[in-house]
Amino acid sequence: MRPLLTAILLGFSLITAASENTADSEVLSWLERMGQSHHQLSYQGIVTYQVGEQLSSFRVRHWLENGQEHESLEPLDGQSSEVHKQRQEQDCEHTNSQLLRRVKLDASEGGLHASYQLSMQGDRRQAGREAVELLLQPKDSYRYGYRMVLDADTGLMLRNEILSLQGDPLERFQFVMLDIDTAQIDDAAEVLLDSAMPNQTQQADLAWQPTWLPAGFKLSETATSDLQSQSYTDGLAVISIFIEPLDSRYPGRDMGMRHGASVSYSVAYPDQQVLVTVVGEVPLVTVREVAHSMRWSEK
Amino acid sequence: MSDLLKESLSALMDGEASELELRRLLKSDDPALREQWAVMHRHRDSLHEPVAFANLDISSRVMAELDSVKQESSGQTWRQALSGLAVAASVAAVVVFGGNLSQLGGGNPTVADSGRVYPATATMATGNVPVSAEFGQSPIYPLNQSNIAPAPAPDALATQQARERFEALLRKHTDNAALNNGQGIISYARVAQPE
Repeated sequence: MRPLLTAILLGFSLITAASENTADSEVLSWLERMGQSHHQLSYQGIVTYQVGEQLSSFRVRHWLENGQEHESLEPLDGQSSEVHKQRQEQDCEHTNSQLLRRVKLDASEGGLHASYQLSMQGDRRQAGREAVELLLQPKDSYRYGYRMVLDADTGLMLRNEILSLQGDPLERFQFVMLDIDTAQIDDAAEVLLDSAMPNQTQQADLAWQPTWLPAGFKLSETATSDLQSQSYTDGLAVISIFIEPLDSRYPGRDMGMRHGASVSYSVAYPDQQVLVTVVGEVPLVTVREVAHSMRWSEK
Repeated sequence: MSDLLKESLSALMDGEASELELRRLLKSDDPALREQWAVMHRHRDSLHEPVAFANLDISSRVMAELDSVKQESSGQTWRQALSGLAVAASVAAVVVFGGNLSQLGGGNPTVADSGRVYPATATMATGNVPVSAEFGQSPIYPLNQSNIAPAPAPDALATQQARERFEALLRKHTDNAALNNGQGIISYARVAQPE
């Protein structure tokens, strides 16, 4: 029984190895389309977000106007009716797009296929549209897996599940209804692939930084130019590090919090009089390790 | 092993141990207790399917390893910190809120995190009913390292503050994540959740 099983597994892994490169490049080109369509298309729809037994729904709008991208997210149930809005220039390329693109060059450069096992899972339907399903399984235990469904026409993400290391979904986004205004595709919104990287902080200039991060995580731009936070991404997972003054009432022990796929871990550094908190959609062990690895540069 | 401990242990096995019972168990360093815990798990598991490693108890070796790591780690490097279970073992209390413990659509509330061993993951539901320790299939380890605090007392105010702080940071984190996770504004659904 066992030799047979071994032979089957061996055969399977040989086949897998042979088909890996084609599968990789197919998944990668889908992801690249996803990264662009998300910025270039005008669309609106209803999206649901599920954590545990909780299901909530939102109206999402994304449109382009005068070279600017506008987005809004409006809760349709629950108590909060706060609408999130944001606006940004179209011509900036974010770190995750750089990482998504870099994957094509060389695995040693980092990038998604160095960190994830990529596979196509075939066709399906989502929100009444033809779609393809991708599976990204982590190659180490420092990040989660993703099961994504992308619109076959445009590459827009229609559904995303973050998977625990056991493969169980921790949270799920999915469009249940979507209108894409295909007439509105704005070629001018083509991201500037070879432009200098905007907002990119130089790693060497940082007054503090983690001495350990999971392989493939790169410093990325943060939403604020706040020196008290840093953000890192491997192209899919994002980790943020926050520094706060240490409150004397803070208990000495480490503190972990979890909500859906998001975790935080706080570690006090009495020498620096700060509390370091690492937040991300990664396993607890990852935020814990990062939080414990902080170093301050000599001044 | 006292009857009291036995009772606490089976309550824990059923996920119904009180805070007090959990502390009592964690404080006890009785090898018989560990053995009993392993036996109970083996019995439970064998009801479902044949267990390949039923007779393998690595808990004492893990403890020894933990102690040695602890001693080495005064000038700790991340490599040492990462060595094996030390990582998992020092995660003492994780507060979980909002929705069920882990995976979607019900199922058994196991800590769906890494495949590693979590010694004491006390879960806190939305209210202030803190203790339902679920050890999955891992053996129990007494928490005798100084930097490990037992599950925090059910202090509703402290929990509320910790939670507000977490939500505030999660919001800032989402500002960063929305730029980089390819989902854009949809990411804000994470922080706009009604409780």
